[in-house]
Amino acid sequence: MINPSISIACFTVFSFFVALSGEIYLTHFLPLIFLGLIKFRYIFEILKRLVFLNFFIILVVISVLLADNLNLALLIFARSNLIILFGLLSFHKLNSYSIALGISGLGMGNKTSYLFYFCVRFIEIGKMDFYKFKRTLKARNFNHKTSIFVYQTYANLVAMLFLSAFKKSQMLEKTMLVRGFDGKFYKFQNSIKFGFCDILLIILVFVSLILRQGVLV
Amino acid sequence: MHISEGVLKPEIIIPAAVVAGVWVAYLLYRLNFKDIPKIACMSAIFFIASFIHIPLGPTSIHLILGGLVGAFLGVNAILAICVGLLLQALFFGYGGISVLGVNLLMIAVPTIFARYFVKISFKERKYQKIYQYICWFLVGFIPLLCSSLILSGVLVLNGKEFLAISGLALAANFPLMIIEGIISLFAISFINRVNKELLN
Repeated sequence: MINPSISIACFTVFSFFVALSGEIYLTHFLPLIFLGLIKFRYIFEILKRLVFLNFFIILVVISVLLADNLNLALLIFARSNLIILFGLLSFHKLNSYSIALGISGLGMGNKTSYLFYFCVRFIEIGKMDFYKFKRTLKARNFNHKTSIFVYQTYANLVAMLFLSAFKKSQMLEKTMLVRGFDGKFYKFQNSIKFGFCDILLIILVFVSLILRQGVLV
Repeated sequence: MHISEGVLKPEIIIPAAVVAGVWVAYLLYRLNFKDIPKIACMSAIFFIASFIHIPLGPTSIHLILGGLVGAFLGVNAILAICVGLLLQALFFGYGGISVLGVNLLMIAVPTIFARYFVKISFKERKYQKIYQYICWFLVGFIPLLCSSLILSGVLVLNGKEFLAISGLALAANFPLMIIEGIISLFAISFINRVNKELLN
């Protein structure tokens, strides 16, 4: 398993370099092959997701093709898919708390760490609330169709989510005050391990960006 | 609504990333610790909005809720939406890290207007009720209209090859603007009935 902090840092470096490059090389695939081997079990799920995410990219490619610029269309298609695939391979099946911990591991300050940690926590609570409301609607034989009544029902659901989220945030704010919160983000010791795979990923990302061999597009 | 990775030119990606980065850093610097739970919960709502699919004819579209987030947080909505966009990029692959600056300026900045619409909706006027309803509709409609215009503008700036997709993006987002307007109108009127203090 790759350390989430390393995954986020490598993903950031890789996406910026690939997004800003005017050519795609064979060596750009090196980290993807490595990540693909690590996540080999989920490769079909990941590729399925990649196909779904290609919807907007295909539209962009068609638009560029209509302007008779095949080279740019191919470049956009390759660049987008390389970056998206890197992200999917790095973060597929990763626990949301691992992401929050990964961001705090990047040393971006206590405020950022708390913001991400609380956000992940509220996402979990909010998702549970949302599914609970949806089950209630289903139990009451709610008909999901285009009508002003349906929109009003969804708007009430959204409003209830807001109200519940606000209530929870106020409770959290009070809890922080009661516990004498001093703004320091405490982590479990050894919560983020750093291993051979992390070093290999860093090396492969830098090799792929420095060693530009075999022009594809 | 998000622009995907690898589509834009460096001339757009780099300035947008710098402007958005500086703005987010400044907001984080002046952020009070006690405001973090509120921003985090709004960020979570922005993230959860992508699960809420609203029926539209034979298909359905997911909500953005940027306007409502902006109505509650004002300028801090930029922080909340930044966190939401980053998590969406990491979990689902929507948007991305290199285009985070562009997406943030496109989606988050127009949401600041929403706060203004909520504020003016409580001013005493003739036909107060109708005026309030219009303002609450605009809370959802205007930020999305601005975001769509920025999206199309960015695509046009990216090159003449993107003219077709920029027109399509603007047209495709129009139904979403109307739906977001309706949702924000009903949602704010619900919150106004249940807990008016939140809106003030």
